[in-house]
Amino acid sequence: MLPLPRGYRLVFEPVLDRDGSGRWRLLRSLASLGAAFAVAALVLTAAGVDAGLAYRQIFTASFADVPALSDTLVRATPLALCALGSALAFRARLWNIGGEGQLLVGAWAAVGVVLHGLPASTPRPILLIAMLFCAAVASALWAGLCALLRLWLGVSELLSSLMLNYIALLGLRSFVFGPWSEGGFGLTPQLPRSAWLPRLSDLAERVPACRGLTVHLGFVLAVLCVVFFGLVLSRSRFGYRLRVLGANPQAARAAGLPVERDILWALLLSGACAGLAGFCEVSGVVHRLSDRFSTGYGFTALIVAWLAGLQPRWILPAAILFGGLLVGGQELQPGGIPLLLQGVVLMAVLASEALLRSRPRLLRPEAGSSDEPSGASAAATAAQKSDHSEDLP
Amino acid sequence: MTVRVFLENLLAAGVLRGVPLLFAALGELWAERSGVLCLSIEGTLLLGALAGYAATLATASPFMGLLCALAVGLICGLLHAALVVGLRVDQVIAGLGLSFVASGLASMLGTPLVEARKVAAQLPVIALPSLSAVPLLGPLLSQHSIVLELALSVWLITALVFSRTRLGLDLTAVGENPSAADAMGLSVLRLRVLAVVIGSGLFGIAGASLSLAVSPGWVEGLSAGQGFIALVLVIFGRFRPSRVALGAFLFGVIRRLPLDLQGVTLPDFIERSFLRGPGSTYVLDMLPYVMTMAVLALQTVRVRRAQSETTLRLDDAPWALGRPYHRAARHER
Repeated sequence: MLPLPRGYRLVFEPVLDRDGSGRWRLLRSLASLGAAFAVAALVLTAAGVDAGLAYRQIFTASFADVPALSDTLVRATPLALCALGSALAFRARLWNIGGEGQLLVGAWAAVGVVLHGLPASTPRPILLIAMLFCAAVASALWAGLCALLRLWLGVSELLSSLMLNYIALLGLRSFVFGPWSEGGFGLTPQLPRSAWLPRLSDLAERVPACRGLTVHLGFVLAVLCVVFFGLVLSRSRFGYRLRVLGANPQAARAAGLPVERDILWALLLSGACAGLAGFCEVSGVVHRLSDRFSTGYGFTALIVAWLAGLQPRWILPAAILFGGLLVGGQELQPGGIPLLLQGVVLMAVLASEALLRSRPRLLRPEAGSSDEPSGASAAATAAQKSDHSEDLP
Repeated sequence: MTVRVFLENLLAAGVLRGVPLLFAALGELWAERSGVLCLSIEGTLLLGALAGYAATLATASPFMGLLCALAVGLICGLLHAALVVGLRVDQVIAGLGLSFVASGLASMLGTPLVEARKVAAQLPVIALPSLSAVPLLGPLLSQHSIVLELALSVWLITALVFSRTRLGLDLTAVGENPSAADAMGLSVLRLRVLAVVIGSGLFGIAGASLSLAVSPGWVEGLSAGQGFIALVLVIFGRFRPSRVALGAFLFGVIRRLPLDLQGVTLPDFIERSFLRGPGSTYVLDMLPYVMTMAVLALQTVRVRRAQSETTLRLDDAPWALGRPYHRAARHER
């Protein structure tokens, strides 16, 4: 609580007409990022970790030179695709938090079509396109399950997508430990080289500077998808309908919009994006399927999407930032620091969002009796306080 | 092995498995009856499990562990309440966010414990040999961990609070119609903070019951989504404590079933199917999650179109569930 003179109180009044868009959104995201890193530093220090050293290590490992940046982009690829999927659904107020499960299903389909579908002699472009297609369709159907459950039976997509994450992981395990396993370990055999997405390091013979750069074609795919769905969301009729649905579902229904169809398509596309992320991971990075190739990209992507304000154009920067966090976090001991940082970033963004929707007012003793008590603001953290001081116009 | 022995063992282990679910679901019930959706359940549970285990290692007293888990749960509850009740942040995303923070913190702080390979004491087991003759429930009644009694008493208290006390009535009023409750002079803010904090405290205890009794020890991701299953149990129980308790024990048994089925010889056509091949245990492990979805489908099938825009789309849910309240904002019904 701020030190206030006796009798004075600080109240946050709601401002109902401010949507927090435009430049304030960017400023707010930056401010909450800064605040989040400060709060996380406090937590880390309290847990006995040297926060300054940890941050320096993260930065050196993820952004300091070209190979590091390349690793960061590799990590940012699935994050951007999953976050795009989440943002598509969230904009329509559909709580698709099954990105992780959809990513696993996409990876499963991509590997399945190579190892057990097409012959080994298939040319590379056809193989890659087939993998991409299968991954997108399989994940779209997996997410479509949530849509159908909601439309036919009224099951909340929030809960069904959550449960499908666990079911997808167990399903994947039953394959990599069972029929697809190599020698009973939780791994499939390695994919043939023709199923690998081209990497920059493939050019090393002609361009020596590319030696050791792991960034693969999937990053280009992610950029294309972000641009494409960004345009769909902002320029197409379908995107407009999604935004109406998200802003006011009752209005969408009353205006006669095809709400059911839009819900279905939003979730299908959302799942397809996550599936592409799975394809990029198995084809561009790990080259085989195991039960732990994804380090929770689907969950991290939720935070990326929220940090980007659900705007596709901010998804790439947010994904690159978080990709760097993941790369840097690999080296750090104890593990879990990146996860903690992600969570704190999300909380800071949320708190700043709430504070942006409110106007702080100092009440003098005689005027204070009629207003709602502001007990909740007492619990506001340092992050929230520093946010509103930088954010409010 | 006779059917009776199989069932007795299944019940003895399954009911115990239901204990963390019961604690967590009752905690969620407290919060949801007051109109707050607590998706932080999974992370708080994990953090509680870690706190309970670590404190038991440090003090050699499992009861200290239980107390520490409760304290951690209460702190998480305060944080969550500050976000969703105080700042009126969207309850879904705030809960998930808090869940991530708590799981991250748990895995970060828990790494040294995994490496230390020490074993903490467990909560005491109650032995009542005279009850072993009771059919079906004999093995369960004659020897079980004390957490079962604890869970049942929490259930009893919760049921009494919501059916017999002023506090229960106030919480329900705040969950059903915050504007009216506010007009009556109830403090929506205070009641909701109270409910969330109590609920989160129970999540912490649920975690400790897991790491100190039901599946003793600490591994990363110990809870395996049980928090989210507890969330669904509240829906299954239609927001009433007794049905929630029934559901918790039922799901405990369901969770246990795949493990018990491994030792049983089943009819030939099942033995030769994919349910017995390599990797098949994972297929069977899906059972609780699939059942959870089935429960949701059955429960929400009667939902009316007009209500279908709320977060969880349920018939019996408190009206204000998931809606932040502010006196100055409009609350249309």
